[in-house]
Parts: sequence; structure tokens; C-alpha cells
Amino acid sequence: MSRLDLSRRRFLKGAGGAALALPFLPSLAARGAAQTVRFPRRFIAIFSANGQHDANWYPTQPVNFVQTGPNIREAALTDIRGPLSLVIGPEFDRFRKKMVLIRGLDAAVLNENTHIATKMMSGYGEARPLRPTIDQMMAMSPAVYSREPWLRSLNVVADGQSEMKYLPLSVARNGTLVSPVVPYTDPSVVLQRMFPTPINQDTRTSVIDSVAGEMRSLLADPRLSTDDRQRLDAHVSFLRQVEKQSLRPLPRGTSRPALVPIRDRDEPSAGEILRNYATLIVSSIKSDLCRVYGLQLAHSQEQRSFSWLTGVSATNHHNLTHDLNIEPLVKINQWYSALVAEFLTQLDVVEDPETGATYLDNSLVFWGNESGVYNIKVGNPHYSNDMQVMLIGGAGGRIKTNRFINYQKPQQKVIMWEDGREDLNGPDLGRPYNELLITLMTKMGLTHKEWETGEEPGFGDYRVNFKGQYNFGDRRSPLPNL
Amino acid sequence: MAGATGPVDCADGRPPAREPLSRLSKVEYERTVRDLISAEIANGLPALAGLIAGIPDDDRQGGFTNINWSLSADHVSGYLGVANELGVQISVMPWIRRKILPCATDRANLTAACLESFLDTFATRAFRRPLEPREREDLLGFYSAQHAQSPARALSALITRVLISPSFIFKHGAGPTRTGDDCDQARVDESYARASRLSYGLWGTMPDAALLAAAGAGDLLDDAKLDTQLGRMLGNVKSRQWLRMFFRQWLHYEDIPVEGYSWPFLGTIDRAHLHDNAVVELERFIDAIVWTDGGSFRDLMTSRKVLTESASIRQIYGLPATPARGVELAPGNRAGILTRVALLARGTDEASVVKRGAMVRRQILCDPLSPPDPAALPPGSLVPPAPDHRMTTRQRWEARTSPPICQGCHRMINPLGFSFEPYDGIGRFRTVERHLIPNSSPEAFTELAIDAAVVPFAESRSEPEIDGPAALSALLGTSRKANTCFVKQLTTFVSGRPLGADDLAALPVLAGDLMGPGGSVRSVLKGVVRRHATKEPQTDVTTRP
Repeated sequence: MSRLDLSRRRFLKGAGGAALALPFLPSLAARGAAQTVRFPRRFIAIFSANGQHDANWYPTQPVNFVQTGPNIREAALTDIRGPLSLVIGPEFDRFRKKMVLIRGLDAAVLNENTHIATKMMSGYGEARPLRPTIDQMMAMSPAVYSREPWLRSLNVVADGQSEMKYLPLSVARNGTLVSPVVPYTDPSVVLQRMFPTPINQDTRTSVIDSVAGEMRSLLADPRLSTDDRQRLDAHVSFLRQVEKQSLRPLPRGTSRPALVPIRDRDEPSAGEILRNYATLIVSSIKSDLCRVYGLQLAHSQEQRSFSWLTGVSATNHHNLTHDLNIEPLVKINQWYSALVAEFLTQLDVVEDPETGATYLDNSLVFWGNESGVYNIKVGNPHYSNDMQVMLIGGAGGRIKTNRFINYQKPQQKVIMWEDGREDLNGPDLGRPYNELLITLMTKMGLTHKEWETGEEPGFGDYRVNFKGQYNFGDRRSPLPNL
Repeated sequence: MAGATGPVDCADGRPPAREPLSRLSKVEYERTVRDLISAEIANGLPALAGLIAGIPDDDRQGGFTNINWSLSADHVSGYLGVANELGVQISVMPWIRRKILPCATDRANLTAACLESFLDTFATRAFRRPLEPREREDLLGFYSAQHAQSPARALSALITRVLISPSFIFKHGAGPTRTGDDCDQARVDESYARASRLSYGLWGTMPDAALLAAAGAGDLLDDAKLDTQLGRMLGNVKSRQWLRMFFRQWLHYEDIPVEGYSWPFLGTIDRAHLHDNAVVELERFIDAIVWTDGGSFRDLMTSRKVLTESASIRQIYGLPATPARGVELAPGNRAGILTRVALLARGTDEASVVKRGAMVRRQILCDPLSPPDPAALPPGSLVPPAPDHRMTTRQRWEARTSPPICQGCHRMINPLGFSFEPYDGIGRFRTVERHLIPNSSPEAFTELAIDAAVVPFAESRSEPEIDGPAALSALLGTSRKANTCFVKQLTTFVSGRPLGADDLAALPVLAGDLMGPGGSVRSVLKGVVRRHATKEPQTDVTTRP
């Protein structure tokens, strides 16, 4: 459904015949609209690699927290003086009222030190087996798509050097089959995928009908293994998805966005590539082609060399996170955060002229990381405690924004080893990261029946809980006060 | 194919197990499309490359891109885009239509004979087997229905339909449904399945006309005739191309950046196209050893042959700017593939001891290595050693990895990495490391002698000490473990699926052949492909990522 179809003004005009005799009362209409007109639920995951240095990421200036619950402290972001931090710089000031910065969410996972991109949205720290991620749960949910979309999810990455580049950010589940979502690496290919040149739609539909018949015939073979039977079933459903898509032309008014030229696909073009992805995602959102996005600023354990940044040379991002000289790392993360702010700015234009709500306001942007926030100056183990979490947009009012929430228990360290030893250099003990993942899915309208497949409730890894330091509760509760 | 005998066992009255489904990888798909329509036509369709590029990339969950199970609506949409483009272009462009289906003089009105011809040629080649009567019936019915709606579009739709069929998209396992116990039919199926296994195993693309004809004649069920075909295929340039793909993915040299070098480090070396030239140099070397010389794994590891005109590569190797006539050899400090720029240059001034060592340990010796677990390490263990002008890189890494907890892995990694210390971060040979003395004015440097003497621990702790990369390469070239690992990697790539127990059991024999008198990469490739082509379908290999 295009945004035009969703506009309240159109809704009222559609009822014009009956409404003509009534006086137009804007305030009444606005209240009515708030109850009946909903904008699409959108989710945009932005992935960063290699963790953050705590002093660069969080505000270092005094913050006047207010206790709002047991081990929950809050402050308004707009009450914090100066730039929020070195990495969340002045370019984010205009978004403070639309942001939630969260501290104190621990991904207590097995193999928790590893560079595993999927951890950000699966809550697991292991490369194998693959575990489904929240974005793909959303992409398959009727709460996000009431009918077949142009594309269920779009995953893109600014390609670059990494030993972990073949590990995915997103993982999809289809029946019992779990498979990685391979991200696009070329904006021009995304352009063609999202904004294709017209093809013969009638032919497409009849071809799909015919091939689906052939697939059903294959499924009749008793020698087919269970796995292959599921794969063929999935293939038929993919065909149907594509068929439904083919029946629906691109929304009226959709135009192919113009991309900035890219010198080449090598690493110095990462900026242009990411800007192009931002353009494509924003254009796609404006035409409601897709509602779930995975924007990987880099691969897991990024080893891109930022030779184009002054003062960053002859090494790479990952190595720098193990270097006591923090300055180059700050530059890299500032370079990324400036790009994120540019993207948010593009998204922060009015979607609903009646209320002034922007596309950003009606979206839920989750900027996360594969690793936790740590004091890198005392060494960087890439633990998964105190995961980087910034939410922007508030999901159309479903999340209360302009908040810095700290869930840590002051003066209590995380127990990292079975014998009860604590990580004395690490952050204070927080709440389970699983709760965030459940919160995000809940805010997008999903219910636990959609993400729970086994007998055990919950989402993510619950196997590690030394000395019972985390209270997992019923494993279905979202984060308190969010 | 009456009277054909072969290995298909129907003794229990049931047809053999069905081969697991395996879709074409993106590269295989592209090569198959080009072979199906011809390179001339593919090159004449400017939109085709972009449409194929739009198909999602393959993951590498299995180590190679041709081992993957991901399939999504994006894949289907991508296949459909390509099929639609080909359908339209073949039917509308007269010069293309004449080549694909000469009898289709009027695209809106194909005769019955011309339609049959289409099924016997284009569709049969696309499916890599003859069409079943029911399939013919379905396709003809589809064409008729399309023709009734729009005669001008019917041929285009038929071509699109064929190219979106699972029989085209899946390279293995999408053959006709069999519910009965017709053993003769099972032999026919197996013959064509062998053609596909041979072709995708050795060429990464569809069978050619000769191979399909051999399958049709039942020749591929006969060992001698199958060998004849295999010999013919090995002589085709597609074998070279596909083997290069194996080396790229095995040794991971396709992704190496060259952007991280500092200008003082590069000196007069021109880095423009450095990586491309390095890859060309390495692959010419591989071609020469495997295909021209009939060389062995040992030759791959030890030969000093150089084939490059690139000024940058020649400069790094210390060769004259102009190539010499005849066979040209690199200086004695360089031996085999591991000492080539494409593998040594990692994009940073300082070479990574750990990466080089880990690459040899994992890829050449097939030893599993887990990433370090900081939770079990003292704080700071993963911080690389800081630069120190008084210590060599080796000394710094020895100190950093000296705790017993690190040695579990680093005793296996470090010696191999230290062996390559005579090469700097771009692959230049050196005998000393040069380090700037901090705060010196004018700038002063220390020069520290490289020490590459190690006990490599390639196979056992009792190995004698060796000194330098050439000695390590010589050791690996004759190592049974390294030869077996090479065969294992090659078998995985050729079969396009994780190895089963019977595959693993066959590796020592194949490695023995490779190391024995007259053993060569070419002959072991032939053995691996033959074994893959003739093995019974294994339904138990269903491990999914």
C-alpha cells in the first residue's frame, strides 16, 4: 500500500459524499485519524562492527538520572549538555527528541567474545548453527505486511575486508530450514531489484503457474528427502511471492532514485556506496516497497583500512580496536556516525502532512553492533556485555523517545566465569539483551507465537547465566519502561 | 539405450535413491546461461550481465560458493528476470532467433515440427536430459495456451518457462519423478545425471553436445567410455577456468585489498592494478604447472617459474623490467604458490604473521583452528604487540603468544607464519626489518636480522628445523598431510557438497596417487571427478548450515 493510500486526507476525501454536509473540524478529524489511520510499521537495522569504546560512545558529562524503576535510571537526552559523545556528535542533536540511547543490556551468550554479526539480532554468539534473526521474523509477519509486499526485506552491505565477511547479519527461517540472507553489495543491483524496468507481467504470471505445477509433480516423488521436500515447498512459496509481486505494479509516482557515482567497488568508495544505500532505502520507504531493512555499514569484524581518513593508516578497523591509541578509532566511528546521521536526515521528512510526522518518526531504527561497549583502554575482549543500542524514530509513537536509559546495577560487575569471577574491567551488570529483541518484535506487532518454535519460551540464548545473575523472568517480557 | 549395462542396482526392485537437490551457484548459473545461448548471443545482450548480477550472491557456508543451500524469493525473482529477458530477446531479435531456433521464421506462428525441434534442442540442453513425455505435453500445452492469448508472445513465454524450471535451476536432483521400479529408466536417468556431475564437477557449467550424446548412448555407464569423455573434457579450456575458480576460493586470494599501504613503504612500486596483476601472475603459474607441465602438488609448492609482464610484480620479485626469453625463474628465495604476491600481499605495510600461519594451517594442512576465546585469556591477550624498534616482528609475537594458554593454537600457527617473515607486507624479499627509532632527529632506523628458522610442526613435533619459505614449501610439497588436504579441498569443490564418510575414506588413496610416480594435479583431478560422477547418490548427506 502506498503512503498516498494511507493518507488521512485521502481517507476523508473518499468519504466526501457523506461528509459534505458536515462542518470540517480539524481537531476532531485528527483525533479520529489517530484511531483509524496507521502508517506502516518499518524496521531498519543498522549494523556496526567491532564494538565501541565506552568513553567515546556514552556521554561522559554529568547526567541527571532519575530512578524510574529497580535498577532503571533515565534522563532526557535534550537535558544533556554539549554533544552526547565523541561518536554521537552534534549532528545527532537534531534527533535527540527522536532517540533512545540504552545502556546496560548484556548478551549473555555462549562463545560470547566472537565477531558474529548475527548476534545483534539473533541473540546468539555462535556462527553455527545459524539462528533466525528478529528482522526476518518481522519480514514474515502479517503484523508488518498485511499483504505480499514488493520485497519482504532488503539487506545491503558496504563490502570490505574482513575474515568474517561470509557470516550473515540476517538469518531467515522457513519451516525448519534456516538460511542466511546474503546481502547485496552493489547499489546499482539494488536499484534494479527495487525499481526494475517493466517486464511482461501477464507472461510472468502464467509461467509461474506452470512451473508451480512442475514443482508439485516433483513433490510426488516418494524418494524425495524431507529436507528437499521442504526446499521445494519453499521454492513454490517463493514463486507465489514473486507472482503476487508481479501482479502489483510499482506504486504510482514511484521513480528510480539517482545514485551518486562510485569510483570503483574498492574500500575508499564505502562512503559513496553507503550514501547510495541510504538513498535507495529512503526512496523505497517513501514508496512503501519494503518495510524491513538491514543496512550493514561493514562486515562482521571489519578489517577495512581507512586510508582516506587522515591519521588512520597502515592498519585496519579491527586492529585499531585492540590499540591503546584511541584517536584513529574515534575517527573511524565518527566517519560512520556522520553517515548514519545523513541517512536519518534523509528519512526525517514529513510523511503525514496533517501531523507533521516524518518517515523517521513512523519507523523503528535500531543501530546496533556485534560486540559490547567496553573500556578499550584496558584491553578489548569484544565481550557481548553492554551491547551498543540506539533506537531512533520511535515506531510511530510506540516507543517513547528523548531518553537515555541505563539498566545497569551500579557497582556490580558481570560474572564472566563459571567459578564466579567477575570481569573487573568490564561494564556493570545489566539486563538480558534478549529482552530488547523481544521488545523490538513486540513494538513491530509480533506475538511470541511467531518467534517461538520449540517448547521453550523466549528468543535468543539463555544457556549462560553464571550464579543466576540475570533474571530471565517468563522469557516473554519486553524491557521495562520502554 | 537398450542393453546398456551399468552400476545402477535395482536388485531389490526399487529404483536407486534420489540425488539430493543442489541448485546452480551464481557462477555456475552464469556459465550455464552463456553456454546454453552461446557467448556470441550473451555478449550481444547488454542487459543480461546486470540481470544475472541481481541474483543474490552465494554464501560460503561450506567453504566454496558452489556449496550452498540458500534460496529465496530474490533468487526466484532474479532467475525470472533473466529468463524473461532471454525469452523476449530470443523471440524478438531475428539474428538471435535464427541461431537458437532456425525454423522459427515467423515467431508468432511456429509449426508443430518447429516446436518439437525446440523441445529436442533448446529445452533438452537446458534440462541436460531428454524431456519426459509428460513434460513435452505440458510445455506444448503451455505454448498453446499462450498462443491463444497472444501469438506474438507465445515463443517468448515458452523460453521463459523452460528457463525458470527446476530442471534448469537445479544442477542435481531435479530429474523426473519416478514412482515405479523401471530399472532401464533408472539407468537412463543415471547416465544423464553422470553427464551433469562430470560437467559441473569439472567445468562448472552444463554438459556440451558431445557429453549429452555420450549420455544418450549409455557411454557414461561404461568405465572406459566415461574415461574417454573425461579425457576429452580435461583438454577443454573450461577445465582450466573452473580449476582457477577452485584455487581462488581455496586460497582466498580474490579479495585482497591493496589500499592500505603507505607511500614510503611502497617506494617506487606502482600499486595501480597491483592486485589484478598479482592474480593474473598466480593463475598463469597454476595453469603452467597443472596443464602445461603436468605437475604435481609438489611442483605447485616449489616451482620458481614466473610468467608476468607486470612491472610492479617483477619489481617485487626482483626481476629485470623486461621478461627474459624462455622459461623465467624467480630468485631462489621464492618457491611455489605460497610465495606469490597474490598470497603474500595483504594490504598493510606490516605482514600478518598470524594470518599467514593460520592460512597455511587451515587451508594447506586442513587443521581446524578456532578463534581465540578472550573469556579464557588474561586481559590484553588479543592486543597485537606494540611496535618496538628493538625487536623483530617475530620476537614481538613470540613474547605476546608465549603464555601457555596461547600456545595451544599459536604453536601451530606461529612457526608457519614466521617462515614467511623474509617477505614484507607486499611480498618483497628482505633479510632485515627496518624500524624507525622514535623521536630520532634526524630520523634514524634500526635494522634487525630476519630469523625464519622454525620447526614447522606440519605433521609432527619431530620434524627437523627448516629455514625460510622455500624450505617450508618444499616440506609441504612432499607432506602426505598437505597432499591429502589438497585432495580433500579439491574433492569438496568438485562434489559441491560436504564430504561423506566414503569420500573421506577415499582421500588417502587419491593422495597416494598424487604423490606417487607420475602423479599430477591433472590426474588426481581426473580421479576426483570420475569418482564424483560415478558414486551412488547419498541421501544421508543432508547437513544444512
